[in-house]
Formats: sequence, structure tokens, C-alpha cells
Amino acid sequence: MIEGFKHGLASELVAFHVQGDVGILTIRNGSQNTIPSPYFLDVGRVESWVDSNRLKSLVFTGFGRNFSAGADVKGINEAAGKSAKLLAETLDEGKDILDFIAAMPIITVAAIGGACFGAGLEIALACNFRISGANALFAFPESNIGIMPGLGGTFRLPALIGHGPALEFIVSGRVVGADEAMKMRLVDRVVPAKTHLEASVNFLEGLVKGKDKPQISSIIKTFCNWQDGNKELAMKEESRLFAELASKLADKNGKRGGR
Amino acid sequence: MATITDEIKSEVEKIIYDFFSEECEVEISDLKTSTRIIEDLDGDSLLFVELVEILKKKYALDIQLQTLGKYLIKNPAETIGQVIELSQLIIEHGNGIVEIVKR
Repeated sequence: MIEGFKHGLASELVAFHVQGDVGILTIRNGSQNTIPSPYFLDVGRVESWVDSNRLKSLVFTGFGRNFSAGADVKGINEAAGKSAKLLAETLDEGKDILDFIAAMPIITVAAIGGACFGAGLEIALACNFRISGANALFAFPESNIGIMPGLGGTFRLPALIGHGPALEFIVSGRVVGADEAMKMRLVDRVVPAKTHLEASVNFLEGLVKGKDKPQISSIIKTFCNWQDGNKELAMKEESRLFAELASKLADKNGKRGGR
Repeated sequence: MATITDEIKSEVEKIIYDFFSEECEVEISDLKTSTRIIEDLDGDSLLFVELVEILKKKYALDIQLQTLGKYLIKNPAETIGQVIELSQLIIEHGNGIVEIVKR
């Protein structure tokens, strides 16, 4: 077991807030919000918090100026020095956390200001949308120190922006600003600096207004099934979920039992 | 190597004061060339990365952060005055900055 690295202080690293109908998870770790461990989030706590607050949408953001400058490089060096095998297993479990975020049955947005590097960018990539302040910066700087993204960046980024641009971005380790990130389709919209959180909450409130949770979760579930590559399941599930929603609607409109 | 005019020097200085005032939420009148970015403004290295990106965009600069990192190891920029001086050197020399031997 890689003490410290394996057991990150997940419960202390992310703060939970609710604003209206929108949940806000804030990464808080020093001025750069570094991610000390792939175990940055207690998924059980997130699940129960989302359920108990009946949330339909969620924002991930960073406290203060930066979203997250990425993993704690010192922690990675120490963990790798102890056991490369255990480090790989820890990263696998960290990927499970990001898979959990990607498959959440609610709409998720990464509200990004300042640095969004490495593991921070991988968290943002696991969200449905990325809303960036004009001052945001994006990079996978791992290449510059002889490593590579390890929490899904090598497959989530190409899926989002295409193979070539993703490969160039990851191998070069270069930093891009918000405007270029928008051109690359790495982010969905750019808003004035320091308004990214407010813009994200407003976006989500507008998007889910008048929609009920089963409707939203059904849409996301079918998206995830297709992205997972199981087309047969995706098609069947879409039909089943459509029928379920339509049936509920028929009940509501008093149309149950035919003409 | 680009020539940097007095006008651009003043413009860079203004950009830097405005940037630190805005990002660190400090009045411009409270900032001096001797103001230390980490100790006095509670800043960090990412502020400098952000500033370089602003300068790159404004002056169409060719400068890699890795190159800048090599220069900064030998010539750290800890105060606003040093950041101004470094920014002007970046505009003048771009990636060639690493060849400069600071007197």
C-alpha cells in the first residue's frame, strides 16, 4: 500500500455546496489546488449528497484563482519509487473515480479559471461541459517532465478534440489559453475572467429548468452506453428508457390504457 | 532579436501592474517594483505563466515555458521589478533569452 498517496484526504480536498438546484464541488488544496492522490473524491459521499439534495446538475471548480495545477509531482515520484505496480493500481482506481464522474446521471460542468493542468484537466475532461474564464490556461505538462497523463487524458482528450490535435497537445506539453482551447473544442464556452462559476451555474439552471431528473438521467445513460462502445446495449437501452418516460407521460396525461 | 521601444516598455509595465493588481486584488498604488510576488502578494509561479501567456498573445511572441524555466533557474524573478525586466527581455529575445548571461 502506498500510504499518503493511496489514501488522499478525499473528504478534506473537496468542499460541497448547493446553490439553488445546482451542486458545487470545489477542489481546495493550497493556491494551486494540486491533486495529492488519485483518490481525490469520496464517490460514496458524492452519490448520497446528490441524492439527498435531489440535484439535477453539478459544477466542479477550484477554490481561488486556479482550477487545479494537477497532480502533486513529489507524491508521484515517491509512490513510483516505492512500487510502480502499486502506483499503476492506484491510478486504475483513480480512473474509476473519473469514470464515476463521467457516468453521473446528472449534467456536469467544469467551471475553469486559472490553471487547469494534468490531473486537473483530466477531471475537467470527465465532465459533460467545460466553461472557461478568459484567463484560464490548459496543458498536459507531464511530457515536459518525462511522464504522461495517467488519469484518462490519453483517451478522453482524443475522444473530445480528435486524435491528431490531442496527440500534439499531450506530447508537446504546451500551454494553451482559453481562446485557443475554444478553437480546439477543448472547452465549450469562454466567459469573462472570474465569471466562470457564475456562468456555469446560470448555464445549468437554464439547461435543466423544467426537466425532471429521470429524463436527464435517461439521456445521459444512453450517451454513456454509446460512448462505452456497446452499441447494441445503447440502442436497446434508448428504446427502453424512451418507453419508460413516455409511459410516465401517458400516466400523467391520463392516457393509460389506450383510446 | 526584436527592438523594444520606450513606448512598449511603458506598455509592458502597465500590463504587469494591472495584472498583479487584478489577480491579487491589490490597489495599483500599493504595488512597487520591490513588491515580492510570493511573500507580499500571496502569489505563485502560475501567475507568471498566466502573465507570459498574455504577453505572448499581445506581442505574438515565440517563447516556450521550458526555455523560460531554464532562464529562471539562474535568474529568478521574485519582485514586480524583476518580472518587468524579464518580460521586456522576453519580448526582445523570445526563446533566445536562455543565451543571455545576466550581468
